[in-house]
Amino acid sequence: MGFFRNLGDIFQILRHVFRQVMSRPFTYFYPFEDREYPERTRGRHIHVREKCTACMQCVRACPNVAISIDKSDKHYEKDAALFFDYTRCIFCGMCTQACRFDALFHTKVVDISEGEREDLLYGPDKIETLDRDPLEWRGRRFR
Amino acid sequence: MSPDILDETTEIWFGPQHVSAHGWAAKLTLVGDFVVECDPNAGYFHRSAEKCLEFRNFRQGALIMERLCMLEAFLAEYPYVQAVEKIAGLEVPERAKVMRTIMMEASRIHSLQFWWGQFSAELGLFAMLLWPWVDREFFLDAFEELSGSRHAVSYSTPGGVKYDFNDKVLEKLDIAIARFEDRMPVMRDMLMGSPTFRARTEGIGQYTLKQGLKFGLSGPPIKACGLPMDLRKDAPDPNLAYDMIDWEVPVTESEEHPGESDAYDRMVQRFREMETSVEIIRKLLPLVPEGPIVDPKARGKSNRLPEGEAYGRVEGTRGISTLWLKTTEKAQTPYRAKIRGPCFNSYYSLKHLVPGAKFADFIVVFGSLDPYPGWWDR
Amino acid sequence: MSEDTPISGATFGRQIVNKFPDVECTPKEDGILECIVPADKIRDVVGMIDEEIADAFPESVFGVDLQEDKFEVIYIFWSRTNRTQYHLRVSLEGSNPEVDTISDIFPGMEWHERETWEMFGINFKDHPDLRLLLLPEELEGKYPLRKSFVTDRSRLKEADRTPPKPKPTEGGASE
Repeated sequence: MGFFRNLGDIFQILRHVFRQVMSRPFTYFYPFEDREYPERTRGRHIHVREKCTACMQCVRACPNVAISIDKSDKHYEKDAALFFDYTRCIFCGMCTQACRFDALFHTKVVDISEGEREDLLYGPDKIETLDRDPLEWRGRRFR
Repeated sequence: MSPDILDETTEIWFGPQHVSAHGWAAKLTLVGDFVVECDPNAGYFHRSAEKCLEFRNFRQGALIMERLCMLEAFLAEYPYVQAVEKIAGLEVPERAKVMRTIMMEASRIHSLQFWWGQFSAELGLFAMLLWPWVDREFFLDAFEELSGSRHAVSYSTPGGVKYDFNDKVLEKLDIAIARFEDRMPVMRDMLMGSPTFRARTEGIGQYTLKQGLKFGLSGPPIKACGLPMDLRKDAPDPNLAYDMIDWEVPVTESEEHPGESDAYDRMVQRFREMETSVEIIRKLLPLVPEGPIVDPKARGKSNRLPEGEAYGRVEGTRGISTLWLKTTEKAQTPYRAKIRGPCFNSYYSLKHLVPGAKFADFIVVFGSLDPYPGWWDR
Repeated sequence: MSEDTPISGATFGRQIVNKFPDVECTPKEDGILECIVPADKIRDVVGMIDEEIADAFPESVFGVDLQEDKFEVIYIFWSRTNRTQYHLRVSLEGSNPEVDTISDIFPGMEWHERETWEMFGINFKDHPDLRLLLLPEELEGKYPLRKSFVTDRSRLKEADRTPPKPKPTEGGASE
């Protein structure tokens, strides 16, 4: 009796194992390929300088004092330079929700790790530009 | 065993480098192979969350709460939000209530799947480590589609929720639940029917209901003793939707030792919890009403709160987690916030549950209480 | 006492007051029974909760710093049968206040008391194991959750940053 029950168990397990073997792997070969990120992904920010009004709402909303602002640096009528400290940012989305002028957004770029700590302090030039397209399907899929 | 071994005691530190000891350590005193004294140590993850909360305003505080336990982020941030809503007197829209409840239950399933894999790995069943974790990915996908982040969701806010459901979120949630329902019974039977597993867990870490209550255990460890103590049913929260549907609190009562629970009963109980959560989600999904997701006045009202005290409680995955909040007149930050993590007590209770057990069973007792270091270190 | 006869918060409050006249009990909304207990009666009241309520569940013990050397210790119990939360509040004074331990009645409170001691400097008499729980050794005796504790702002100074507005006035800042 025990033998047949064990046999049944073994078949159950084998069925499961075969389903696992036949299915696509869940992991990605990360530096060569990447997955698609959803619409609301909270990655690094981008600052649209034309629309900014230097209202300081993002600075006030930030729980970790990661944003600072320089009001004297004006390119347009009433904008300001934004400095992001990504050693402090926790990507909570409070600043983008606080912005009422559509001037601050999250992007889908999530891999922003750097070798040096200073590189994570994003100045006004770096925060206004995206150096690469986040949706690009980089490289090819293995398998 | 020769008599002179019994005279000597050996002290062993279990953790903090041990692979199963992720951020905690217990000093065990052994005689032979038996633990005679257990001294659990806390504080390896201490981030002074209570002090940090005193420097954050009422919309930012929930961010700190969810970082205490990333696995149940939707549940962990809720006591704070609830306490703020009580003091500010905020009304929560119907749609936000139902959405909150659905996501909290999804978070419960996801957290239990994580624990299930981890516990199996602690017992040495490494195949069972990755299979539940694969299914868990689908819940994480749904969370990411909803909020933009896999773990640190920052979903609830005083007066409602931050992100609305859309078709893609519902679709991903549906995929996750369907996959869970398809695969969970098979894996459960495989694990629970396994003679190795039964031999490792039956009769280990046994305590009576009265003892469990005195230690301050709550959630599945108490429900496994046969007492349906569940805040979702006992203290229904007007800002959640648990009273909109019919459901039963899952209870496990063992036939061999009624009124007591061992590691095996707690395992059974947690599988029932997952089934109940699926049932609640399935019943609530068609009931999501149309409407706003956040009270438009909430932002202004949660800026400065009146003087008051409130006590927010939620039935988390691991037990009752609460937050006691005191505010002063027109303050922007709390005067005092006290977090009670459910695992604070379950980790403490190792001191009483472990002595007498074999050294190899220590991790079984520990794992069956489902402790998470973030909850006790805070 | 048993499952069939729940005692309402108001009734139990009257029972406590009958037995210990210097305790004040007020039932509040959400099924909360608030009791203001003198410091020397806390063991008696907790012992009564332990005897009368079969499923008394110890939720937490914590301190509140009310400034000017005034402290409050709050004990919270929950009873499922009675659907009542028992909030026992004990007012203490002095820079090193003392109160009796209840960790022998409810072992689950032992660590909560330890934490209150290290964070607020409230001494629990006859506590079996009053060591540091969460804090590192260099913070022993500094009592970090007291309002007089000055938090470390070195990281902010290092980055040459200050919070945009000194937000909390009476709300909690220690500086």
